[in-house]
Amino acid sequence: MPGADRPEFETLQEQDPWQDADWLPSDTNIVFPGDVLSELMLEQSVTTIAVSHPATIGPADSLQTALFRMRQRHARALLVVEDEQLIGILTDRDAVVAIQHPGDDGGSLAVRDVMTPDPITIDPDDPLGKAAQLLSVDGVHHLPIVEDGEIRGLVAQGPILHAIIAALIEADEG
Amino acid sequence: MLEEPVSALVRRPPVTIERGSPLSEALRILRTGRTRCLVVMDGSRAIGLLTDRDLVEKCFHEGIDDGTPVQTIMDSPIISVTPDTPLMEALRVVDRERIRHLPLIEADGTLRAVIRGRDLISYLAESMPELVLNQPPSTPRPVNREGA
Repeated sequence: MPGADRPEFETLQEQDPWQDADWLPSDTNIVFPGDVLSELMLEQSVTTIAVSHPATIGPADSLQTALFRMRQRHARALLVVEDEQLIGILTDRDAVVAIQHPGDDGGSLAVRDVMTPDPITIDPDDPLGKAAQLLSVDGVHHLPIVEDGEIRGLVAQGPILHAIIAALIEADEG
Repeated sequence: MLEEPVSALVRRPPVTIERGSPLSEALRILRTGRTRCLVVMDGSRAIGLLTDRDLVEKCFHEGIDDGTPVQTIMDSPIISVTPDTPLMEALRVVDRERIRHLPLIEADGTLRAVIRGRDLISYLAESMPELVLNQPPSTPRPVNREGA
């Protein structure tokens, strides 16, 4: 944070970088501690911190196959795709909820029956701030990026958090 | 605000399990949804963490027994800070270590809480809504988003 002898926050009045952010409430009073975080949250596309080719799985595949793929790809989530359309997401949480014994390999369960259907998605043009907003909702850890029905990537909570922290550190030291 | 202690983020008590407890017990607790991160204890001392991720990575295949002790698959040693650590410093630790869960442990070894990535995002959002998320403090809490 800047020193105590100068204002920590600058209020934008003339030039409002949030004006094009149509997902924001229109009557918001905007303050921020310098340009770094504002640029990050408003102008940096979610695609900059996304996995561009997320691991996928079919709904009829077994949970065993899905678990193998998650380990192989070091992925905490798989996008469930049918006819090239995103129909769900399968995460480590879904696996933990579905499996009743530590030694169960998930072979008797289908992805379709375990996945979270119709996940919340985000547009590749959306800024990081919108992803952070959606990921602050309880239970949401991953946001598939979808454009015109096509999967463009996957954003996870961890990279968002680290992007925010990195910006705070930069603002703190700047 | 970033100078205040990280303990300001604590929302709930930690969920713990003894190091010799069977994996079936860890899975049972994690399945309830109370937490996604168990703190593995050796008596009164926290020695490791066990998360959903660990179960997917190291369990859920043949050869893993219900009775396998949790200490065999836990993440250890623990990276932690004391509850009075300034938030900014705690954030630096989370960033540097690339961790998702940050236990708060007193100098005398007493476990106080585990801070989650979501706690950090939510706290930053609620404390500085116009700065981080530009939204009011109360966030909708949808149900049926178990895994996503």
